[in-house]
Amino acid sequence: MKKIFQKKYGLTLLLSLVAISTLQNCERDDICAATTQTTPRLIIEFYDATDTDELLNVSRITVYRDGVFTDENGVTTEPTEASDKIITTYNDKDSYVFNVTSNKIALPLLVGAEGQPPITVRYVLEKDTNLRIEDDDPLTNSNIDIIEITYNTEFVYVSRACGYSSNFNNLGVQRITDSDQWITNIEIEETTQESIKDENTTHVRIYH
Amino acid sequence: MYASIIRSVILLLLFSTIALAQEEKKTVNDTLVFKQKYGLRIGTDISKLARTFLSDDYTGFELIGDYRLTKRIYIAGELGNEERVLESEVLHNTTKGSYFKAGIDMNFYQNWLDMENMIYGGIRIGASTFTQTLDRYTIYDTNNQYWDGRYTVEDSEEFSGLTALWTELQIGLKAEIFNNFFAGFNVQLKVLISDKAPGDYENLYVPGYNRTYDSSRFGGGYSFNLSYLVPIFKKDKIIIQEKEAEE
Repeated sequence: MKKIFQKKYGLTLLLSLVAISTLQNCERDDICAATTQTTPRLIIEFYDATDTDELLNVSRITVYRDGVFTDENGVTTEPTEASDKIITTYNDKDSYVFNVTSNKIALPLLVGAEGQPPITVRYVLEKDTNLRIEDDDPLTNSNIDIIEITYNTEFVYVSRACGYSSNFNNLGVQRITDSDQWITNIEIEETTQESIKDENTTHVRIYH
Repeated sequence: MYASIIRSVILLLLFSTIALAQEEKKTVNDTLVFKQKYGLRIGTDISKLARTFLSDDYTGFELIGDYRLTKRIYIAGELGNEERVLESEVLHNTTKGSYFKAGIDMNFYQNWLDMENMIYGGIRIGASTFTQTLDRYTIYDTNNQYWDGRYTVEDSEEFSGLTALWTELQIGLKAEIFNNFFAGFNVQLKVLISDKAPGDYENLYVPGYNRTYDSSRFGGGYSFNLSYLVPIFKKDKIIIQEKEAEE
């Protein structure tokens, strides 16, 4: 009789241990952890046009997607304060790239259907924002350059909690020409030419 | 007053035990014979039936059976069919398929007289073939607010010819509630041995194994079952009792 009980308790103990560990697994498996690499942003760094290996800050830059401040009548009201229509900084989701001096930005890309045709998005990169919003001198103003980004999406499975994320392939970045440009050249890093899978490396260099 | 009563009681007890000990004990073996029914027990998991009626995202049926080999050992197995819809913020998946499990149960319960109840441990090998349909999925993008929402792929994709193999440990009980009619309960611990998953996707649910986990190969399950014993033959169960011999 004693032996039987030992056997029974042994099994019950084993089973309850497994049940506990399974419950813990539940939590870990069903929430997509913030540390999991999912859909990446496009990481851009700004370099010095004359000394091409040196990072160079862009003074008082503001970045937002083209058209976000345009209303239904086609009137564009340029932003005078930070809002969620402006992209967040590379490493802080609570602060915005509005009138800040920085050499690194991360652009969220629009996720659309896989395959052809490629997706095109435009971003406004406004340099010297302070000249527009802080001083009243009509002769000095900020300098807006627009870049156009084209790419294809590719959906890859991550996990049951995160589902699928998107990679961005066949990246192309162009500057939209205007009369007064502060961007001199745009270069896509060789390592990311094929596909953007994560935010671990810089994808695009902008020289100015 | 009380003290004297207690003292006399103690004395009485002492003497009586001595008196008993002095008595010579003679024993003989008394043999009792009970008829034990052996046969095929067939039933179904009523929890699966209940979930089929109560839950929109589950349909399932399971036949259970066991055959008594010896006093303690039973050959046992389950055969079933399940359809399970799993839905989360990012995935909507339907798994459909069949499974069978085969193994043995061992009864650890020392039955009284002619009773045939079970407290048992069982081992199984389970196998399943199934189809997974990824009905729709939403791309996980933490920056989606900036572009006004997430992108959802609505084209459903079917992955067929999927298989899985696992082992299972069961602990449970079966009690005879009417003549030849049993009610039972068990819990199941499963360890996935191998599975064939679709490329660039995974098996979220395996019929018979239940849901899978990313971080381990363990799974779990339970069963509430009703079964009927078809008696095929009877064997004698011999109980030898020591009895005091009568003079």
